[in-house]
Amino acid sequence: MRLRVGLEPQPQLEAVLGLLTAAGLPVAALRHLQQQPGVVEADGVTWARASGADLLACCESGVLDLAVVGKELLLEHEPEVFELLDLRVAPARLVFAVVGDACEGRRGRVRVATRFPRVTARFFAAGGLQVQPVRLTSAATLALSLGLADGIVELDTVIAAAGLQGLAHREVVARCGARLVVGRAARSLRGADVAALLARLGDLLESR
Amino acid sequence: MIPEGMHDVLPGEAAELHAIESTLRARFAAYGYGEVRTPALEFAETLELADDDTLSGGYRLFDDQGRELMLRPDMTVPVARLAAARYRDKPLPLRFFYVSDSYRPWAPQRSQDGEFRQAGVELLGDGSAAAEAECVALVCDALSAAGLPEYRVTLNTMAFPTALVDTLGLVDDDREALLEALADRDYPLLESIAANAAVGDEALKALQATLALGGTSDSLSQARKLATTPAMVGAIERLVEVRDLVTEAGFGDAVTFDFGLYHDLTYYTGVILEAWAPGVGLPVASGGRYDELPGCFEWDISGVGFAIALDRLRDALDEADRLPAVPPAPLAFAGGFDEPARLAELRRAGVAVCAVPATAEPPAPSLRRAGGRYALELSGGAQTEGSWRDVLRALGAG
Repeated sequence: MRLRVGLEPQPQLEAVLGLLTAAGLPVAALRHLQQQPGVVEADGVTWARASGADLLACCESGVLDLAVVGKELLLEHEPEVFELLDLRVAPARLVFAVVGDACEGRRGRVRVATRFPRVTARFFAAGGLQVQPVRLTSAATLALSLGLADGIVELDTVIAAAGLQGLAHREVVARCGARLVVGRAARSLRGADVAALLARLGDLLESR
Repeated sequence: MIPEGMHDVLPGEAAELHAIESTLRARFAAYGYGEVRTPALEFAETLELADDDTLSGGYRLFDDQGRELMLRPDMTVPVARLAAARYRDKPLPLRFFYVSDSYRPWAPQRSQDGEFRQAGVELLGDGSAAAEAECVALVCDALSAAGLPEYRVTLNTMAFPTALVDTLGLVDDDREALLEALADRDYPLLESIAANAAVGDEALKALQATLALGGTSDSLSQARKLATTPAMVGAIERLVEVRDLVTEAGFGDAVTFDFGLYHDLTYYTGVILEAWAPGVGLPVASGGRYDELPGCFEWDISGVGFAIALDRLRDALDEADRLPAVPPAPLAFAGGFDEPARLAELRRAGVAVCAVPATAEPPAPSLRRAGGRYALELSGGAQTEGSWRDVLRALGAG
């Protein structure tokens, strides 16, 4: 097997690694990277640890074959990759949350802080509510405390971890979780290896 | 400053691209294709006849009569327009090739440059599998001739996904949503739509199995086993026919099949292809059959073709360390501006030479007049000092 696999540091990384181990990938080398971004090779597999957005860019450009990333990133970036499998790990809901009645009739346009401005704009455009996405690269939750926005679009798991009180989840924007993606080049050039891994992961998930 | 998505090409890269283009032109001509050039600007309403969202999103402008023009977003539609306008009374099939720039709005998230150069062919008026096989063989031949040591040409047919989805018995909305998920390559969503529409376990498994068939050598035989309707069997048989013909032409080893391959240009109707090379994340070539496109110009003939993305092919050759050799630097003749006869004599003898000021100190290869004699320094470090005749002899021009 000659595969180049990317993983993002995520709270449930151990569950992903467990799945990949059971599917026959030698993940031990990846532990040398701890939580740092980097690349390591072992037993014919090249592992890369980086942010999900960077991994998607690497898959798109053909320097990585596979990656495990959150569905929310796929929705935001709409990358040119094949989304092969829901790994049923790290399930979460991307939600629109506000403090109390912060959005009720104050302005014609609601300010929504988020790491996912494109998803946010699309979601609200479809529903008819006019919003002004405020793009933040991390901790959208902070925007509420500072009064930067009226609401946020964020994963419910992130909101819970931030410990914000009094937030009401108004709407579910999307259901998310860890996804296995493959670059278009890898699907053609390393199809046999990818198909074999996909089959093993599919069997594992079905047997759970 | 230049607009986003546009770029300059410098002499070294231009020389490499020129060499690649010359090779591709020769291979296209060897199959009987004739070069055409179409205008960069077409009437917007002409290009809109193709009824394709991607193509309709091109750069638009108005002429001084207020007519809406568009920079061509691809070459297939202009070539179909040209053929319908000027070749109706000519015997079929028609074979055209082009090496041209096309223009689409810059889309960095899709690695879409605003201006991109393609070399491609269009084969019009032959609806057979042999025509498709000719295109597949030609793309392989062209990529090999350009020097690409490793590549794969992946095939599918637009008929197969449609036939497969038809077996699921979905209502129109679900069918449309499922095909959209297929085009978006979002398989968990596709499975979720099928499951919510109460598609049976067996059919869902067949769908999953088919989409898993990507880029493997036995994809075609596996798909054959999964084909349960005459339409699916027919689609597979067509691919088998193409594969066999391409194998006979000597390029079978390069061909794989991917039943998740789906083109976003809506004019494709039959067999589709993409060529992939290591180190390049987007296809170096793509194309397929487009039997309804010439009908947009009121000429009901079939069509099939492909386009090679020249920048991506150059990147793939670079990655494989197989870029074509560029011409060596010309001899720099310090003071040559004052000796046009000497310059002309060297050029007649086949030496590339350029004049630079007498005060310049150019890197080798260089030539300098010193008194009545000449000092020649070649790239390898060899030096000659002597008469003009000595210089000519040292350059192999005497």
